[in-house]
Amino acid sequence: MKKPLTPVLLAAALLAGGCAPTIGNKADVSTVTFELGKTTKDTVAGTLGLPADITRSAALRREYWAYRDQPALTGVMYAVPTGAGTVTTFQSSTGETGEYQFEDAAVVYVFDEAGVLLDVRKPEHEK
Amino acid sequence: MIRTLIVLGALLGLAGCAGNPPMQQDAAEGLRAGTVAVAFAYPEKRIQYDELVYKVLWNEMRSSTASFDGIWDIDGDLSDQFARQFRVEGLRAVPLGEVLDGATYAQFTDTMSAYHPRMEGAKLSVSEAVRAALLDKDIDYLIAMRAANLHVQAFSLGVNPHATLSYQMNVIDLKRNEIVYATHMFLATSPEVGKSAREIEDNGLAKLRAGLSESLRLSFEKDVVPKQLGMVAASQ
Repeated sequence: MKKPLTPVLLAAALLAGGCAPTIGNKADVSTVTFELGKTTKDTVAGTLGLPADITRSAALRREYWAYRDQPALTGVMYAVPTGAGTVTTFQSSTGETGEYQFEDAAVVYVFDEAGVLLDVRKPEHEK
Repeated sequence: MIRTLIVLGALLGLAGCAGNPPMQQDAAEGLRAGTVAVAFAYPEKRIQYDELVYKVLWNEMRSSTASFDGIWDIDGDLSDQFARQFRVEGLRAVPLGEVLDGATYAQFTDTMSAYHPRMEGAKLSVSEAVRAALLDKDIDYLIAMRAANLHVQAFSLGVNPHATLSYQMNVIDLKRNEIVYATHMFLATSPEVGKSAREIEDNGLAKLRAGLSESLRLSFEKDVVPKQLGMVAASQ
């Protein structure tokens, strides 16, 4: 006799359900491509949104736009029934603040002074 | 429901600002009689996004940042608008950038970068070169506003994001080299978006800029800033 699938499906739906973050990049940085020597900062900003961080090198006359791959998970909130008709809410922090750190970069776009894309660096791939 | 709570929260926040003691009357009279340079500074040029993401059995808290350095001159825009609004209130106000030369203005921005109003014991002190340059141009007061954070709270349930730009306002009597008034204030807006809070970045942050500009205008129209600076009676 086959076991009923309903509890399994229900559990899967609960685990997979809910909403996705909407504050991430507008497109997936791992799949989007731009044309070196042609794509401008405006195009990159329009496709991905603004970068997590912008730095400049006056000596090299370059500007670096760094993107995370997704928003940082800073904490989780959950509610646990603690009695008849009562629910207690718990919150735990991951220790992340969401503040951009150099090692968070999934991709870095390098622009020249005119704002034209010169190079694309994927730090994770360079390790 | 959530929208109502957000609006209520914003109103309570504004009420909180109005609860700060206003500038002393004698200091306010001095400000009204003098010439004033106005500067707004947000050296970080960054949006901090936070979102509570509904996950059925739990909620996740997610955060990200977006830099608009070189994309939006928030310092220039808000310095200009504050100066205009102060002029409407009768102050002889001019944006700081119109008074100082480039090198001296850069000194001032360095000072503002190093000044973090949220840090305990933080106190703004402009350099002697900046003070001397302003006095040389017959400027008596500097209203220096330092933004602490541009925060956007996003919601994953189809509610518009809520943006808050909090700032510390310091009024400096340049002749006495003394802060005669300091208060914490904020601008707030809830731009309409479709699916993502990050739509506020579209078209050079057009929606965010318009919303914050409107909030600034309202903070004068509703007498929030004028009351704090003793330009109108606090009881009105």
